[in-house]
Amino acid sequence: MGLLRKVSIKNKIVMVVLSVCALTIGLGFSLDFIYSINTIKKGIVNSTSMSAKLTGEYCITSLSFNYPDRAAEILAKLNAMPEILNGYVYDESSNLFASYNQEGENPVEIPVKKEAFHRFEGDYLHLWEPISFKGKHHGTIYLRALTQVTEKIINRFIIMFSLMLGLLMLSYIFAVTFQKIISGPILKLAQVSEQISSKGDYSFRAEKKSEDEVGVLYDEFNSMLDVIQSREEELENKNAELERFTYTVSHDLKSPLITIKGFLGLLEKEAAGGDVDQMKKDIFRISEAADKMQKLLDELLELSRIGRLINTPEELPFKELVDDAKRLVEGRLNEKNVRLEIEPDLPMVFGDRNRLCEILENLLDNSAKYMGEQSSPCIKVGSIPDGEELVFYVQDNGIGIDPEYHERVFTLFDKLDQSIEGTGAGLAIVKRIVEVHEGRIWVESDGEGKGSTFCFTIPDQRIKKIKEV
Amino acid sequence: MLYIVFKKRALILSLCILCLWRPVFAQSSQSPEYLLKSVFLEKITRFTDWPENSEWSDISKPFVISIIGKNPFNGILKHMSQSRKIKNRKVEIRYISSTKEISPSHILFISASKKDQMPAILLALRNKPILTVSEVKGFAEKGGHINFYITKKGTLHFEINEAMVRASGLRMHLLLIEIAKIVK
Repeated sequence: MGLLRKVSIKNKIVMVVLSVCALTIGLGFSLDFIYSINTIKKGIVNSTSMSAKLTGEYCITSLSFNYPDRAAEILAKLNAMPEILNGYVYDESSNLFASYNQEGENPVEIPVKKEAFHRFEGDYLHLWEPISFKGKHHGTIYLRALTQVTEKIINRFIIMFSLMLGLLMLSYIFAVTFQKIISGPILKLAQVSEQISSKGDYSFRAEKKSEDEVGVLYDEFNSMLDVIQSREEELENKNAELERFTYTVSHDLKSPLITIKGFLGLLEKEAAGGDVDQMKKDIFRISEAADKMQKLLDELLELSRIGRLINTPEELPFKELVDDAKRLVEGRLNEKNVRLEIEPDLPMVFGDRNRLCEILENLLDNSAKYMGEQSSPCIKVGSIPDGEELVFYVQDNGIGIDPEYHERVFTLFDKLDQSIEGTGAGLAIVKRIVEVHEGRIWVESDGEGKGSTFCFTIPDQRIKKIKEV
Repeated sequence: MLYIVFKKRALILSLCILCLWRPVFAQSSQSPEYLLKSVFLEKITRFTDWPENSEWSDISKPFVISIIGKNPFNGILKHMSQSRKIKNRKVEIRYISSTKEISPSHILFISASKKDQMPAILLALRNKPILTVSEVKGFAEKGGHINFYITKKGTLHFEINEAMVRASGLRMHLLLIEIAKIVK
């Protein structure tokens, strides 16, 4: 079987078809040939037997009335058949009654039989037929004929064999032509995969043409390519995120560290000079810097945790979450004199309490931070149906976000306004939480000075599960 | 001289025939010629068919061979009739002196002694399904059915007047006609 491994599919199919054809044709023809040998022999025996019976019948009265000369005369008529070499008539006591030997042929010694019998001896046929009249046995006639049985059989064989070869050749031609039906799609797929792997271009797709197992192969092949493509994209995104992450961490951690180191240097001098007041001030600055580093690291930890840990989801009134979040950002809201309006009749939501609260905390904080110069900064929180879904929103009348950056705001550490404090992780965290809850988040804003509305959905996982079942 | 030679050959021949035909006769005083002729008569009946009528279909009725004139068989036929069946019936031999007594015969053997009355006898039996047999030269030409004769070599043969046989309503097998001499 190892020999066949390298053989192309094309040739494998042709080989299979040919071997099936060869087997069936060969078998069929062999059986026919064997049968025809029988038929040929039977034909010869029948015609010789006919001659024997007729001749024998003519000899009945010669036998009965004992006129061997007359019988010999009748036998001599066998001369008309050149294939009959000898003809003998025996009486009812199996004694030779009359004989005929063709010119040049010698008389033969043969056993006498009373019943019909025949035997082939190469091309010679020995035949015995009883002679009887009205049930009474009068004698036996024996004929020896030179048949062409061997020649006839060989001729038949040659004809059959040539026919068989012809049919096999025809099968070969048809097999080669029609194997394309099977091998074509397979070879095409192999070609496409070779192309894809050599060029590295995963956007190629193979065109399905049939609905059979090969069609399934095509479908699976294409969906695998889809998966590869999306994974590639995801991988690129993750890599980009990782790069930003690494950059930010090193960058954002560096500055407080520089601060710390700087102030430590100053401290050394102040300790030497005994300036305790200045030292206290500087120590505070160091502590501040350390706090900043800690905050950054905490947020990073938070982000990494979101994807993995999630508490038991429960049904919660949205209003409650808003109230909790409000408390957490109270400081900033008061600082900026932001009015918070909460829409009435807020629905229930199903999810992780802490995380959902975090969404609102971050959104409120963000909106407050990016109010800009506003006479009456206001944040509205509510919900609005959108088709089958329920969309929650946090709307502000702050500085707004240019449509160009609507996607970027959710990117980790990608702060649009570097002057405003914060790590730039807030919205990324929010997005993560929403995604973990299988929801969507986006921002609507007409641009600078026109305020922004952050919208998100938290679908009820329970309904989804029921629908799935 | 020739006559003795003929007879001798006939004797040899008939003895050969006797070996084939079951040796029924132990007595050597029986004439071999008439032994053979009786055998032939029996064989001839195998290849001859009598017309199918109500008479014929009754196989309880015997097959009758009548002899008119001096009987040359000397009891041979009688002996044969006792041991054999012809056409699946018992055989009866009758000795008649005139055609008036003919019925119900199937075969009539006309003896040489009745040579002069032959035409009259044949006339009386004209077109009747009775096989007429004799051994007189010219019998068949005169209208008889079968006539025995012995060849120069001493073998027993017979002549058949096929036309007369057909006219009488009897049917003879082709093979029988084939070995006999046909007379018109």
